[in-house]
Amino acid sequence: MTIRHHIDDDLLLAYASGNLAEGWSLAVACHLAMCPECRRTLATAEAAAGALMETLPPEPGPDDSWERLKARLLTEPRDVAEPVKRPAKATLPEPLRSYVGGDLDTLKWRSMGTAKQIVIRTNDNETQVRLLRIGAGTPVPEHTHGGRELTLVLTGRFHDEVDSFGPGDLEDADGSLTHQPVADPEEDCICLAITDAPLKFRSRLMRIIQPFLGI
Amino acid sequence: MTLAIYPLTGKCDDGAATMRPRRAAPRKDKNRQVMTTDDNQDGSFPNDLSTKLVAIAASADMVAFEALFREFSPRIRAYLLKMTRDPQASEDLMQETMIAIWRKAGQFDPSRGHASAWIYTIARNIWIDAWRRQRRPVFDPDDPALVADPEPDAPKLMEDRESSAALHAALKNLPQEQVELIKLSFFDEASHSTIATRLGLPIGTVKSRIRLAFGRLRTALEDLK
Repeated sequence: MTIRHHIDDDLLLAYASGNLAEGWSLAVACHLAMCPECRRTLATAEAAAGALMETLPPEPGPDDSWERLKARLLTEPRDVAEPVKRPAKATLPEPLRSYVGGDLDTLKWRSMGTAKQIVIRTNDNETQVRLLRIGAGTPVPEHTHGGRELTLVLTGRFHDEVDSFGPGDLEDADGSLTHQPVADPEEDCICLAITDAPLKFRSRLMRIIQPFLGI
Repeated sequence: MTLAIYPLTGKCDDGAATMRPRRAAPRKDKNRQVMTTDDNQDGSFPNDLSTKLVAIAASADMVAFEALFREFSPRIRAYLLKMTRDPQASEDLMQETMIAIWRKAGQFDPSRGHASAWIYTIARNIWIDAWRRQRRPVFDPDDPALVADPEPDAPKLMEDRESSAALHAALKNLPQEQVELIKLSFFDEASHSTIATRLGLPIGTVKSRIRLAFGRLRTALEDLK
């Protein structure tokens, strides 16, 4: 796999510092699973953060800080490494499988024009996260960039007028980009798409019909 | 108040740290140059941190743990105070961080990175869980779908004392304003646009300075490999 579109430093620092909302972080984490180069960059960022933490001016705490901690240690179990069950093979990387409840072959897609989608829930309220399956040779649907959009290709490829994106590539587009991405003709393109959260309606009826209106 | 409101969940967030095999014994330094005098000038504690973690893992060494607490917990508290701006929360979350260090010391692998980086990630994850109430998705290093590194040795930062000293040296060699911006990125719950407003700089300038600083740091560390 040759990845040509990586996580840029701003995004990586936001992720490393814990300041990136969960939805964007999911795309970053999946790219990291697919990209050894960005994993090395993350290690550098965390090493820098640790070294800088060592140089922070010490902040004194309450006098009984150690006594309190010690009292808790006596009752605190130490972690025993439990074996984690993993499948022998997988197409979608973690943490995505945990978010969608399985691998590619178990997913239940919902039709959306020429494409199919699965909405992924997160605990942040600033992003909308979806898995998109774009039919081979067809355009990416409802593609207006109102704000930021992160798109991570998982399988297949798509291209637009100027560039091409394959497995592991992360497209980071802001509102200024206008383009018409199309899935390559050989196979369906599956990608993880994160956008700024859609408008929130106060009316329950509007919230119910919102998905069908595509807003 | 309150330890109950800072639950130590972190289920989603231990990926990079949890699956490491236990290390039984500390590694012996072989012909290491001792650089203590230099190391402590900027208030850093390079690798006795690492040695202590290994001792805590190997034998639940309370003496090592108390020493680590005395040396390092004021920095952890300082970090958490910056993130929460709440002295009580920073104390409580520091306690949770120390408990997590105690429990997870066996997962620290000195060959995979710096002790201070490992401690930073634990404190950061506890802050995210408690304060932001969001999950922080992470990759699983043992996932069958993970794309393995073609150069397996590359991610290992240089070990122990030399690497930590090299990192501090690289940071020292950066212009002060760039270090400050990296610090703000890590130790402030503020976006780059907030930082820009506070410093009276255009957002583009802040971003490009951070990028420049981070790029130089990366190059400095890669040159050392």
